[in-house]
Amino acid sequence: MMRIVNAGKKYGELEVLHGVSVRIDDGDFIIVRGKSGSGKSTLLKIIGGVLPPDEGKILWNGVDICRYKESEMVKWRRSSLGFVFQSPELIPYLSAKENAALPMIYNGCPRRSALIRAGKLLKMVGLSERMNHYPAELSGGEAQRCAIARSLGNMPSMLLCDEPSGALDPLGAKSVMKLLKMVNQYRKTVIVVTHDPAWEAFGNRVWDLSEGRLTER
Amino acid sequence: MKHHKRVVFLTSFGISVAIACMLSVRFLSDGVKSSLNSEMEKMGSSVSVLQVKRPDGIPADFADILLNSGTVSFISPRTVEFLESGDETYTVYGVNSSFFEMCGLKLSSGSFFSDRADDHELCVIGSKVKTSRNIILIGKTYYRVSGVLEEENYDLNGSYDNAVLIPNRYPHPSEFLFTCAYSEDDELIRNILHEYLTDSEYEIRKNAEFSESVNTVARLMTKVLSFISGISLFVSLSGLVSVTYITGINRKREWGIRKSCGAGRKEIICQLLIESGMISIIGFLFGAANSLLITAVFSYLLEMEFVFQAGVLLKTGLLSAIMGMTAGIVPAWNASGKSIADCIDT
Ligand SMILES: Nc1ncnc2c1ncn2[C@@H]1O[C@H](COP(=O)(O)OP(=O)(O)OP(=O)(O)O)[C@@H](O)[C@H]1O
Ligand SMILES: [Mg+2]
Repeated sequence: MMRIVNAGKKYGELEVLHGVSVRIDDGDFIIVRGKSGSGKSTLLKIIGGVLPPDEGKILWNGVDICRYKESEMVKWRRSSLGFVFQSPELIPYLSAKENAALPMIYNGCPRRSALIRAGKLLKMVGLSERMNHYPAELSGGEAQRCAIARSLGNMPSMLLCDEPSGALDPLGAKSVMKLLKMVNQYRKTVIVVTHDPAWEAFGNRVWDLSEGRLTER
Repeated sequence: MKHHKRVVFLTSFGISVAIACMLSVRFLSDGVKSSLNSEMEKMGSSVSVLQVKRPDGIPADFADILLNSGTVSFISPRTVEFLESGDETYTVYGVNSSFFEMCGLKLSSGSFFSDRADDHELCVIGSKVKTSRNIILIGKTYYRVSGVLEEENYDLNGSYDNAVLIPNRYPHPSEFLFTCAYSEDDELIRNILHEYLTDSEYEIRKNAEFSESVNTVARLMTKVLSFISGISLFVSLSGLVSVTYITGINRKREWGIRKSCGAGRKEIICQLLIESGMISIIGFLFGAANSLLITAVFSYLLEMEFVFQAGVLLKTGLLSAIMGMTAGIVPAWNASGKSIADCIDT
């Protein structure tokens, strides 16, 4: 369970988030909406411990992750967190399968079994024909699905996705949302940023971000 | 490392050149040294030279006194005359039969002369000496050629190609060549000498000392050359530092991705150290292979011994791995210290 208390973030003069307080329960499926530039990605990064907030607390089971030591942060990331960035962020000289296997390898899984499992995950997101392709040989949507497969490797208790369906056609987007719903059914928290109001129905909660403030519908 | 093949190639190429230089210098100079030493051995580095500085020399039978005292095992006088014959000038050495063995001279035909009285008009000539019907006139005496030396017979005194060796005919030679019966018999010899000569009237030169000084020079040369190629290794390693540094920065995004996938600082540092160590080892392997090739070719061309020490190879390999890793420390530290947000800013 996570609680965000009074979080604020500024980029220089620009105040992107202001006094955001919200509670995330285990098993929530949250859709985050807002105009471009409203701070959706920023909020997601703060939740994922990628970006420290300028003020406020991010409590994970009661402990402020901003106070984590480097090693505790690494451990938390490995065990509890899956993160899909807005752009796919794959390592260009590793194949799709090797990219997808990375979190498992860093989590101590033997390379062989990590690769086997990565293959299964890629199949799940519909990339069974693209396992050995390099990122440059993948379409935007394929790369994004590969990044999703990668985020699922360690069965994280919280999955953060920044516009996972942004680069997909409606059909592909739908299959990704179904996949996330499936992950959610294992009582995993899923937070998804999306532009498309059509996907709001998948979540049990919807957050609106505007002018630095978060409102829940 | 697949991502920057060309840079990896160029850097390890630089390292391999430096390593090849360093190792070939080492192996070649080892070869030169051992060739020199065996050559010196052949030339009789155990031979000593007694130079008498008195105008009237010392009686020739002095040699027998030394020989009988048991301090020397071989001794021969050596007198020098010059013989003009047509366009050529020959050097005529007056010696006894021990001389041939001491100086390791070899015949291509005939035989050496002995010390018997009936051999006193025989001579041994160098391969380039011309005679008419095997007879040479030296002074007022005719000498018959008993043997001809092999070509390129030389000792520390030079080549014997243009030399004529005759039984010594001077009663007071001023130079003797001898080999000690025991290696450290100087004192005994000097004691005997003192009965005939004062300290300032003679000098003993040991060829062994000469070979020692040749070795010293060779060692010094090796050191200088190794130092120079060591500098080139240093230069190529600083190339490696800048490569790891630049790739460390260029691959910022990769570090962000890896961290978001659960890599800690340790994993990223390890990855970069292994990469820079690998570049260095690849360079070493190519360099070592090349150095063996260079050494083999040169020792073949220069007719030297091919000396190759696995220990040196191993040490250099270890050194380059360590230096490669060291080159990666600072870049790896910097690369791993960035936060994910700094690395990925979308
Ligand atoms: N590293 C940064 N430095 C300065 N300003 C930034 C930085 N990152 C984001 N911003 C600014 O903060 C604001 C919010 O950015 P953010 O990426 O969170 O928006 P977003 O809601 O995800 O937009 P989009 O829907 O286009 O992805 C934007 O105005 C952006 O220009
Ligand atoms: Mg965004």
